[in-house]
Amino acid sequence: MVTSQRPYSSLGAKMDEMGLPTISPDLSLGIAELGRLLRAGKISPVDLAQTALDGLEKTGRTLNAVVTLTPERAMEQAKQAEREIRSGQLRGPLHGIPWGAKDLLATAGIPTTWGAAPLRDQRFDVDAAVVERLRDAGAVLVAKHAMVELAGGAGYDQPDAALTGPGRNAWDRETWSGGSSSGSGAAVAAGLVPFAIGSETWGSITTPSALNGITGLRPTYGRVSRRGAMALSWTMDKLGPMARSADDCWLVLQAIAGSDPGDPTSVDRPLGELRIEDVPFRLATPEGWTDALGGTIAENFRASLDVLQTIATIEEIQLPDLPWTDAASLIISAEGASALQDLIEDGTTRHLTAPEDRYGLYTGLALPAVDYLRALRVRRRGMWEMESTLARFDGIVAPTLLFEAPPIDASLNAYFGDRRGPSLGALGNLCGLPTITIPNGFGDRGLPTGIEILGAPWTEEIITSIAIAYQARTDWHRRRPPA
Amino acid sequence: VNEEQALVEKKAAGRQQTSETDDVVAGRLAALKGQFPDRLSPQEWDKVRDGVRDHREKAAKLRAVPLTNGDEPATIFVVGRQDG
Repeated sequence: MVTSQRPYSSLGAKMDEMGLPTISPDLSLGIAELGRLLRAGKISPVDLAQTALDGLEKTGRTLNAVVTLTPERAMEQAKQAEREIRSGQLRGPLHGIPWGAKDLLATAGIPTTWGAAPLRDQRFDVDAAVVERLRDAGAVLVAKHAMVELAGGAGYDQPDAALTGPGRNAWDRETWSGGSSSGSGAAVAAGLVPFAIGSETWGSITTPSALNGITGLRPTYGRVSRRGAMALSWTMDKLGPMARSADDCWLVLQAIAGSDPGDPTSVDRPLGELRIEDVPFRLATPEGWTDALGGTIAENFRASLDVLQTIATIEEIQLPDLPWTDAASLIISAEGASALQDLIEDGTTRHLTAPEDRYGLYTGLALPAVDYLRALRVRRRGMWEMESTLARFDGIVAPTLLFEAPPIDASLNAYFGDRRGPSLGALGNLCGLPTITIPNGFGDRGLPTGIEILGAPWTEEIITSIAIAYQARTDWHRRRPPA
Repeated sequence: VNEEQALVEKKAAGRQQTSETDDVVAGRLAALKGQFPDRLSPQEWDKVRDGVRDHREKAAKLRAVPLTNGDEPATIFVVGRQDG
């Protein structure tokens, strides 16, 4: 039985020789709907995987969203899923669903480049923990997605800072798909994979999600094991899902969350239950930010607040006044220089793509230990203050970014300039807080904009519930880029 | 007169601070150049100097946050091997 409410014709249905409906797999339907069709036998995991591989080869390459396709592993996993689903051995909602991994996740026998030209042949013997968990959930790995070289740790100032060239945005190929999880964002937006895994040290899930008009969930630090993922900053790196909707992100998070002996920071703390009906939610928004915004970013944010007010109380608050960006910068610089020290010292970083990345990591080598430790001490103070701030609320809502996607050839520092403005990014990442970014409209140039909902530690189920409730009342997450 | 004098003293203090920062930045840059003598071009070293200076300025902002002796760093330390 097909549980979808949509007619087959809207799913690209054809009739087979027996007069039965068959469906051309449409990967932009999302995980939940594809899963229903898979379990109903209306589409096959093998067809789905092949569709993904074909699309990634044809379109994903032109978006510079792909480093490596993984057809052998994909077909092996898809055939296994097909056998299991047919025999009723269901593994869960991701069973038979294709996905793509940011190319900083180790995959046994498949190159893992970290987006860096000098590491194009790097291989590992084992899979990253996240790859293992998605395999166990029955998901089908189809690609390693392009990313900014070394996850942006060298301080890139342009989109063309990747082994595969500048990440192109599916909404306008002359604009950037964001960083550092560029390919993950573009591939999901273009409907080439239903979901991808990205990583975030500071903005690398939220930025490409917002710029590409998709949903991205950055979990609490420690929620998802990072074993097998490139380390840029041990105390700030997180892995999380990027998908079309909050529902889909939740399905993925359920599969990848949990403690792992291989990552001592991962925590054995069960995810809560979604609380979609638990209205009204209690939201805060930073005081004065709305007034400081201009143009369609402000209009879209105010419209989002209007929608959210149907499901939540919204109170303006003052955020703690601490040097969030300074602390985050120094921590990443010091930890990045240490994590990548071998590549700096042996000259590997001299061969990175962006000229500024060839010297960007050196400054971290000269940072005094006391300055790094000071940043960590300020972080703890900040964590406590944010804990107090969030105690009365289910989340803090703000625009994810104050700009649309930059031109593909832009200097990012010049483009961002005064567009940077206030942001939850630095404090959220510094304090390890979860956030979810969801599309909320289009800007002056017709490109996606987004809002994020930042929560207290270990409250992914709450912020996701709010996002699901918002998406039940809007259709921004269903909009698709031009073919 | 007092205001003028305070302004003069403030400017003098600012110059002294800038001079100290220049010395510290130059010292750190020299250490890096000593470690990697032939690695970067003069223009690239200039960019590294900007980065070192930026770090110094950020650290100064962090030092302005009042902390007590008991304010520990939020860092990772887990006793014993976790992976058996």
